[in-house]
Amino acid sequence: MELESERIAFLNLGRFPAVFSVEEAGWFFQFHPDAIGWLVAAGHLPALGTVSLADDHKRFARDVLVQLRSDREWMDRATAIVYSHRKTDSKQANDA
Amino acid sequence: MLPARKQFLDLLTAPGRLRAQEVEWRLGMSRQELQVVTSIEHIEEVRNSLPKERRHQVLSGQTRLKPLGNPSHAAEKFFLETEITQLEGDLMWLDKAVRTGRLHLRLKKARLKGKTKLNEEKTEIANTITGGESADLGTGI
Repeated sequence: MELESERIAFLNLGRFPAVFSVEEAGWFFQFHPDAIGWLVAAGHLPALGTVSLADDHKRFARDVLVQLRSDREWMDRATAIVYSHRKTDSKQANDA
Repeated sequence: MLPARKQFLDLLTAPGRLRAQEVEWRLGMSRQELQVVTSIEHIEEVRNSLPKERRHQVLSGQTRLKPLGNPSHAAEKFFLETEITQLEGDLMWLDKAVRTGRLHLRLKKARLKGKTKLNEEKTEIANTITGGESADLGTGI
């Protein structure tokens, strides 16, 4: 519940910070934070600086995210990447 | 109004992807209406029930509301927030969407009525047959 109120407080900011965390990027697009990691790993979402894929402290430029937010093609592909990850995950869980 | 709905509609910035429930809140539609305006099958059903000269009054496969990322039937669907914002101000699209939803509901009701009528007729026929058989059995033949 605390996370939900943090998310609402973030989306109600009059001005967003120049750099977003993984969690904030997730709130901004409505993706789970794990999905943000998948998008970076797939090379679909550019992170700032040099980050290892296991790095939980990835940062993202606000201006890039603002542009991507209204890009239908980008969002279509991003959502498809997340669907396919979920599918693979549930298949692996069923196989195990 | 639900507190969650008010909280969502009051957001200064909505998330880039919206869930079906949030689209319903934004467009003032019911779950059934949203299902119709996103489904090619439902839209085609409505279009096929209309004479050709009236089909421009309803949505088409091109103008339907498309979810993001080609989801499977059972998957949770998401929609692009900027597209929903555009549609909110598109009176022509809203008019077609409402009309399509209403016509689909009317078709569904007519189908149910037809089914009930058909079921009633079937029951009546079945009763007649059963009645006839009992009558035959009753005569000891």
